[in-house]
Amino acid sequence: MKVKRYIVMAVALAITMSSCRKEPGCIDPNALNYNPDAKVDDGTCLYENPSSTNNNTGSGEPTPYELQIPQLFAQYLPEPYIPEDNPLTVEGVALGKKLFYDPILSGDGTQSCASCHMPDVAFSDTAQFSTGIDGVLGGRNAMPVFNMAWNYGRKFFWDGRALDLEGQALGPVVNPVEMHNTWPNAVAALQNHPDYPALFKAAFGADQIDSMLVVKAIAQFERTLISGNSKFDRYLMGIESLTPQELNGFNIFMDENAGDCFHCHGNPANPLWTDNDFHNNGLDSVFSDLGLGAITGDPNDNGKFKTPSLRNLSYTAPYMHDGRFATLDEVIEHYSTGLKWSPTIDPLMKKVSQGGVQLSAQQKADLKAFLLTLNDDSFVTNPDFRP
Amino acid sequence: MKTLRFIMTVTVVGSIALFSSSCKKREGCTDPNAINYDSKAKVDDGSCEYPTSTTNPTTSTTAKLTFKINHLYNNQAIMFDTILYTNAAGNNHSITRLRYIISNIRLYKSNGDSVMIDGYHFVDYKGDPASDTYAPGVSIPKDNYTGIAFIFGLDSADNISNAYPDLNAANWNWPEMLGGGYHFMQFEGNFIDTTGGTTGFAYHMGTARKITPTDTIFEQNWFLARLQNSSVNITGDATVFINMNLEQWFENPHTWNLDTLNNMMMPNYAAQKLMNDNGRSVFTFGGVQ
Repeated sequence: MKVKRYIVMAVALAITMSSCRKEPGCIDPNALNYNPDAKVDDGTCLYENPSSTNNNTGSGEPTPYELQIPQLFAQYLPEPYIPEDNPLTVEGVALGKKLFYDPILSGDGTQSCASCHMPDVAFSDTAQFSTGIDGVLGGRNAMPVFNMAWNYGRKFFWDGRALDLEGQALGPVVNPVEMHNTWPNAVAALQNHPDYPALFKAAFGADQIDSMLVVKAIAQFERTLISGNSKFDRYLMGIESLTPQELNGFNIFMDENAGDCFHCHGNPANPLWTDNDFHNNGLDSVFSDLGLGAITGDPNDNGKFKTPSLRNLSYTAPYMHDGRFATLDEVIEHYSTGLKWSPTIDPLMKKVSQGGVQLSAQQKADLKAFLLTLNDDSFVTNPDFRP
Repeated sequence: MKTLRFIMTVTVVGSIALFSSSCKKREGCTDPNAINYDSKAKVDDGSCEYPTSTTNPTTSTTAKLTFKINHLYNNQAIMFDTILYTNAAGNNHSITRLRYIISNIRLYKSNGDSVMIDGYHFVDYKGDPASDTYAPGVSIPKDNYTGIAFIFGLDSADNISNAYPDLNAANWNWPEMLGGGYHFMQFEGNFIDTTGGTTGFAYHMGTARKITPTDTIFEQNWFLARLQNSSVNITGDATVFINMNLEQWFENPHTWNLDTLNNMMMPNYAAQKLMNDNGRSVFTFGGVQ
């Protein structure tokens, strides 16, 4: 009797325990398979294996890099465009800068991006046409590089033929009149370099360098080239005042009856000072360079070129797609008396039969004074942009 | 033996109590069809909740409208860049650019009330042809509406200088010296002038600046575009078609001659008022689907 009772009790106890024992599982909240209902750790916890994610081994993820957005840009414009497949990182930007200044990308190791896009002159060239490694001249004036992340249309070059900064950087390396290399050669040189493989590993987690990673790094660096600290910016922020001449010049810029520059070249609420669009501004009646038309194949686009920004004009001479104007005076004279009609000339180029807007000598001087307030001296001396 | 039995009893009873309190069967909603179904629950505690019927489409009282604008010249869909068109004044011209902004579409009811879809829509028909379609994503009551109208441009509450980043990026600002805010329209092209040569025109509309001997006044220059015969019975999501009849910018009531009015229209007060008058017949109702 006693034995039976104990057996019953033991069985009852066993049944109670088996139907309601403490649930086993992974009880570590940091684990991938954490089970909040588990009461007893059963050793099944799984953790992210750093060597199995994103190709990164050992060095971990690259560090995000945040753009320093100027106050007026943040206030007036949508967010800058950063492609999802090329976020900005500290390692990527540093690698891009190193590549930008490195002649290793050229066919004979003598020319870098910076050879024709010099920081002293807002990353433009002081020459009308740049000379490639073979001593051959190009056909277009090297464009300055700033505020590229706000080119929402993402078309680059004077004729818009490249999509995205990454796409733009592919061209010069292989252009025969520029760096005259091949991408396999450039990539091999980088792969064999004592430093680059580790830098690409840190920036992209890549064991193998390829052309896309090269242009991604360069594009990251270029996105950091931001110019938003001109005298006129400071005037808009209430920190600095303009002279009466500069203010008058600004009025001429904004007046459809006078300069009417704002329709293409922006206004205080568009701190890019360009519409990033393509126009025929009356340079020629017969084209030697079709510009956008050569890319789209549409004759209605012949003679149209990208509107450049009016920032940093003191640094970016000579002017126009072919650098034909050495001075700002010549540019202003063009719009005043020098317009030439062609079928695709922009309707906003008014009074073409009279050559243009016919500014007086005083108006021209005032307009120039205003344009110079868009210079950003801090941009051309910024040590962050130099090697 | 008694002591042993006592100890055993205490152990068993104590164990049962211990295990029971820390491990009772989990209570909750055990119906898989319920919103708050708890897959770990063993005992239903009556807490189950179910979705309410307002999500059922057949009982919804609202609908969403999409607006599609047809850009016509004398009832033909427009083409850019070729001198194809002749306006009421006899000017032969092309269209090279067409950008404009509409806002605050209203649907009117027979009792005089209206439903307003708050917001603006910016069209760049050449640069972004898909901008001819405006889907505000706003639900309006299903109802029998007597007519549709909208503001061409921005009214005084909305036409705030520099307020809209996307419009700033589009270089759409109207100069402060002319009243600030934004352009309402940039309608551009080329026409054959009296010499037989080609001249450009830039028909730009916005706030109208009036300069008197004593004053500078900035006049609101938007207008309400009323679509004639635009009664619609909205019973579900639908697309409303709006026709923009571009030849009307040059006529009705004022015949507009590009020879005299082709450029520098923005600071031209009289021209801005002519645009406002002519604009009222530009938009017509294209049906609903």
